[in-house]
Amino acid sequence: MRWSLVLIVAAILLGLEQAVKGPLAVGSTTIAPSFVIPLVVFIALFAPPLTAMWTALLVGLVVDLATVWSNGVTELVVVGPSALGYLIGAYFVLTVRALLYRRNPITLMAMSVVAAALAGVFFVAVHSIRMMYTDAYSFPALTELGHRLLASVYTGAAGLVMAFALFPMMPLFGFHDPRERRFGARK
Amino acid sequence: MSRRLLNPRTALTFAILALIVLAFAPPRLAGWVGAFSSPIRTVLAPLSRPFELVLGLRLTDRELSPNESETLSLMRQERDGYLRETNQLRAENDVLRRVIAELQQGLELNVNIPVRQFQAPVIGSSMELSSRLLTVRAGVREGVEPKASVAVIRGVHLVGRVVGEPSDRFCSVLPFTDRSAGPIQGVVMFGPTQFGPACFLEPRGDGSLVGRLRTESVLLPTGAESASLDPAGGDAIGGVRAGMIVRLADESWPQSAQMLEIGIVESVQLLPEDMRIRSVVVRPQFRIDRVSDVTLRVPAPPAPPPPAAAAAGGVP
Repeated sequence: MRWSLVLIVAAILLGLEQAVKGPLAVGSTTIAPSFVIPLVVFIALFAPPLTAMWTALLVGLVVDLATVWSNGVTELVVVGPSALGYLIGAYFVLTVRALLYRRNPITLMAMSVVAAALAGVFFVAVHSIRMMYTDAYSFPALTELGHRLLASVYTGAAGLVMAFALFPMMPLFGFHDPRERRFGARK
Repeated sequence: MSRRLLNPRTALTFAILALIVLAFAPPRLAGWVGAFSSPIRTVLAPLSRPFELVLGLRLTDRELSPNESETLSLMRQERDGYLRETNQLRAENDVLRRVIAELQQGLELNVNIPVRQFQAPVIGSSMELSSRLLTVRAGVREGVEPKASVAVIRGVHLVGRVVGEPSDRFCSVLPFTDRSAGPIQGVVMFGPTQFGPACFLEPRGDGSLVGRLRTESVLLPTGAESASLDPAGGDAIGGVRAGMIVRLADESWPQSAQMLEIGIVESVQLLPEDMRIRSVVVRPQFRIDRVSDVTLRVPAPPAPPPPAAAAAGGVP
């Protein structure tokens, strides 16, 4: 896999996500699509397992570092909820990808929904546990859980749209196709 | 051995373990992680800016006052500014009377805190919508101080206040509508300069605030007194109507921020479980989490004493 291209695409999508997540949110809720989760899913569908997991971890880490929490007095950065959440999502895709028709845009959409839901549940779980021993910010767990599960459906829609941009770019990403090795017909 | 430790699989395991520890670490142990946040936000800001500009996602000054000519918009802004000033001056007048009385008892109070205002662009917001913190391009270099610096739009509409430790170039503004910002106290305005009842508001997380109107008259931080609600009167909701302006009157906010506009009353009703409690919903006039620029009101350095006073004080 070409890391340089992944980094460029990830940077563009992180910028896009930061810019449009708020305006695309449903009312003033946190129900908004993610554009980086479909990328993580796309890489998990085609890249070697270790590469896919590192990508998920690093993209999630950037999201964590770009999110600042506050209680009105101090600032706090919590590293881990998104990074590990994305990793769980990517790991799920890696586990089931052998059963999927990977080159179908619907697959990217469906897997984006599941990965976003798993990442969302983990995110809420971590922050809910944190709320037991810190008051550094406010986090309404139940509302957040509902919003994040709905947001995962929204992310699926974003994934479907992104599939039409990402799939044509597949040769550029330099994914190694396991079938080529099996038949000894490496190009 | 070192090769085994450095292989990607082992490194991934260590990274996962480190992240699990950091995810649950209490703030005092994981506070150092924040140092890495600023560079990431600095890199992401220029990446998101083109999308915001191309898609027109941020509310510019023109969009904040649609269908208005520039002159009318300026006049309206000027009027709002004068109204705020009038209310504050009126309140300060009351304070000065109290100060005189207190000074006569040997107390010294400093009520007139000078502020400096300047425009600063909002260069980013949080990646996760659960936190609505805004990153503003103005920092210690511009004199931004945490807690004492307040962000507004269109001169009088409150956005939030600076939280955390501002860096040299950036600071974080927590909108007062964010759930983490906590409760805020305000006063409903019956007229441009007529104080109504005070209210205690809490952010709901959807951009609005909900709270209860205080039946008793309270002393506002500006020195003025709010109106009391007469429970025996004919009007069950004490004359408070949708559309009335609510201004900031909260001791936990800087003195210079008092009387800034929180929003307008969206609805007011009696709670069915207790008919003596009047619940009020207040919503800011603008989507403050989507503004492209804010005006920062930072404490100004104290003015040097006049030469005569300095000379008098300088001679032993």
